Amino acid sequence: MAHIRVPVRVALSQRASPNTTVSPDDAAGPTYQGFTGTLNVGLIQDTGSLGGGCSIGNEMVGKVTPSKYTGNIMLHRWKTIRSSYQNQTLTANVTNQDDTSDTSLEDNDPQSCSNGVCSQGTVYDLDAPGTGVYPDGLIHRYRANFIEWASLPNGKIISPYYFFYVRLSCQYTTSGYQFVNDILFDNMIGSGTTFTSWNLGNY
Amino acid sequence: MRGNTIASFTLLLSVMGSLYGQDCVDLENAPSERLVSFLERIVPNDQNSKCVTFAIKALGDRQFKPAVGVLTRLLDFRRPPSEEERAGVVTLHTFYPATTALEQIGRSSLPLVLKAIKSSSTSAKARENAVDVWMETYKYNRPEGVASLKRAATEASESSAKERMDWALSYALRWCGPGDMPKCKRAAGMDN
Repeated sequence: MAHIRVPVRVALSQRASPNTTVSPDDAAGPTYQGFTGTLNVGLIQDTGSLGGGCSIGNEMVGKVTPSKYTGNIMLHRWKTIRSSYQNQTLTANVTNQDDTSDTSLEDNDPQSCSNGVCSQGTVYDLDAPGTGVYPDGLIHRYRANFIEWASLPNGKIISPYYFFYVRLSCQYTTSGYQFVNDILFDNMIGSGTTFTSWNLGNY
Repeated sequence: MRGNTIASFTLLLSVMGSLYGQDCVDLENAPSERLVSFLERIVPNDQNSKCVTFAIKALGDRQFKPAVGVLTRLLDFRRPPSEEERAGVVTLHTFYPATTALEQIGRSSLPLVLKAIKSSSTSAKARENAVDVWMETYKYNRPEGVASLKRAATEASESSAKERMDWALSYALRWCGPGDMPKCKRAAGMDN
């Protein structure tokens, strides 16, 4: 019987919708929870070891073909730009930076089983970009564009590039860290790219 | 002999440079043995912490097994914040680089990690981090991580070491997800 070699491919998608939690078979879930204090993705007020601030938790999901592939698959993240603001003042502008997660936030084994659920050809990468501990009452704004991709351990890229953006504004108030909605379409994550101006190009 | 003297002098210069200038250039292409030797000689402080972090990270990336001893000693070394972190940006990177390095080296680091958990001379933070390394090494089978820690706890003869192992077992449970928790508790003997 002839064996046909099928190239390994990965299709990437992102989970960050409201009322969504980290996938039960994602072995990195407890590490994420340790940092953020929650297994929720989407808009989160950080507790955990981060100690405060606002983030948008997201889980990149890599569906592997063939689904029975047993080798490790690495997920990489590149930050094309990150602009930070206090109110309307630009405080930092960083471009082109490797932002790949620590291994403890990735589940690189497509056949791993956690919490009684097996991945059956899925790998994961968790992150929660946002603004940290800043109890100064100012509005801290974060706008960033990222690219994610999958590779074999030897570096060979095996997925299309997945472009996504994160934008949020956060303020410390008497009720703790709160998302601020003074800018239309702020506090979102999605595929594609975003304007990185403080007002997201709205005015 | 002359070669050894020059090598020692170069190492001393790099340590001094690291101490006073945070200039880690000499370490960038250094062989792993030299990075280990650098870490063994240095007492981490604000002046050298960047270079200490660099060396730890490099040894982890290279999965250099002979570094396990010195990395275990540095389990409570806290790296300085990155530029991003200083700017108030959230990053999910641990402040304790030796934990990541030991995790990258994998299960061959566990005997010395276990020794650190049991030892009375280990700081509380280093002991916490040692348990984190242990459980991360079993990230694809966390109940087995708890079970192996339980076996080690049972083998501990000295009562104070036994106490520290019991603490480690209960601390390890935080690494079990909701679906794994019943198995983890059973493995720890804490299911009733």
